[in-house]
Amino acid sequence: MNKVLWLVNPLQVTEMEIDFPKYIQELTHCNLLCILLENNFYETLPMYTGDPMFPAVDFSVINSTLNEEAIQRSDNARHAFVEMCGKKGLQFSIHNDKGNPVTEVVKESRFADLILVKNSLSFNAAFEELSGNFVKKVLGKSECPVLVVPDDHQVFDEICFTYNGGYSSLYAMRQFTYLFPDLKDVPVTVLFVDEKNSEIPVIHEKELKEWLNAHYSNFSFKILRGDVETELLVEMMPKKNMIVTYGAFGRNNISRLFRRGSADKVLEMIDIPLFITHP
Amino acid sequence: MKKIILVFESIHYNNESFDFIEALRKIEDIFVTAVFLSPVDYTSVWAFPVVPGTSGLPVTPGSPESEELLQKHMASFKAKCAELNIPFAVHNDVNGVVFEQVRLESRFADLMFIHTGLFYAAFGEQPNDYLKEVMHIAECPVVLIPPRGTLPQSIVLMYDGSESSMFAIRQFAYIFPVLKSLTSTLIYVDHKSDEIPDQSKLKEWMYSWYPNIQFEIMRDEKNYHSWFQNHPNPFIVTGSYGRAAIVEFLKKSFLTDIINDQQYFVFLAHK
Repeated sequence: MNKVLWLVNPLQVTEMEIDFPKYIQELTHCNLLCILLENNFYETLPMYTGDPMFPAVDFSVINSTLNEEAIQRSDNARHAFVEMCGKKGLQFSIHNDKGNPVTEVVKESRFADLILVKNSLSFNAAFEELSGNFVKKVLGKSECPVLVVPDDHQVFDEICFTYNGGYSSLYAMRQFTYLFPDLKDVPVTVLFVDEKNSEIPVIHEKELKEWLNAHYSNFSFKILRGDVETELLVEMMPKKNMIVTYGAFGRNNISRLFRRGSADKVLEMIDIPLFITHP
Repeated sequence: MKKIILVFESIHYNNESFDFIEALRKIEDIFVTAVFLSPVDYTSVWAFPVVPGTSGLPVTPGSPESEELLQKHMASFKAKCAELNIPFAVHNDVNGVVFEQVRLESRFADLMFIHTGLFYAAFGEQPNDYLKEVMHIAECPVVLIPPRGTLPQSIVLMYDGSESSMFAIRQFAYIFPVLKSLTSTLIYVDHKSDEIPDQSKLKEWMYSWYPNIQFEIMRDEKNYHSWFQNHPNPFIVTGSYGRAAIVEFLKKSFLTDIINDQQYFVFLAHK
């Protein structure tokens, strides 16, 4: 893996968040490209028409005092961020992307190997209420895998491959393996999610074991039954220092590992690194 | 180590693909699984007619002779792997269904090798309908091994500005990091433009993987023969215009001609 995009809102970033990109860099010797995403929506003051029939907002003017303050604040935050990374000894370069953050990131993702993003990354609380979560949008549209980073620093002591027998889950496993080839001795658990709750689940064990054997020295299988979504949450919620792979997120034309909303729940409720990609 | 599947039609087999496998074995660890398939997919027999004038089927599928041939081919594969000291497995998928088996086997593999000289020759010249269908449904990247080719000495990455071409290029880099040191060229095929799309981002990624890569624009892909004379024995890396439209891509004369020439190694990947 050579080129990793790290998405940061400099106004939000904390010192602890820098440890994880640093860990990824040490693990893979990648070039870290930090994309500073900022909210470019100017503060405006509404003007009313004065018409008693249609008193709706007609146009607005930019509030220059507020905006100057915001620009100043973001400049300061950026300097503080660069300084903080310098102190931690992180090697990286910076891209400043203007414009719609989702579009910019998707454009960059075609020419990148991985995206690192914090689950709670956001730009404007009021705006996001209307448009949905930034991270979920990036997951749906990104052309390279996305690693959703927890709030605290964790390492990869254990790997968990979620697997439902389908192409997308295998695709995610393969991509993860290519990007992190040095983890071959880390213990792997294949979590078979039996969506159909069949009596004899079709795991394709022979074929899968052949592939796992070629890449990992230590692996085991676990079958989840019952209400799969709940079981999965129960399985993952107490975990730390484990990386989980997921295939498929938000593309309707492919078989999804989880029913609608389940990955959302996972994103909101568990606090371990998630590797998400879709074919 | 990576898992490579070699797919064969059960009654046609030879060890020619092993030149490439042997060369690969010298530079990295591999695990090879031979997948023997039925000579005919009976679930879609009407969609893929045998082409008159071709070699046809030497034996009737399902007959004792064909079973004997299959056993012989399996033994030959095992002996070759043992000789080269390559870990291997053999899957007997002769059950009358070809395409579903290929889909399933390719799901659990890093790469699929197909020897184009032998692959379902009864169904016409390459790329014949079986090869096209297999390339279309494969769930892992496919390497086409030509019967007349010499081992690749350079890498040619085909780029058309699309998501799918970049996808194929990235997959090639991930699967064959050991080939980074070969001479590599990225070709942008365009009849009009002089600009490679998204050039700065593309170059940034390219140089990080292939420090010595050259960028070239090909005006007319029909003249690729003369172009390849300057780039001997290329490994051609190509994507498709979207997974569903791979058949469309194959209609374009360029890739069809390359496969039909049976001289070049082709790496094909799509989502």
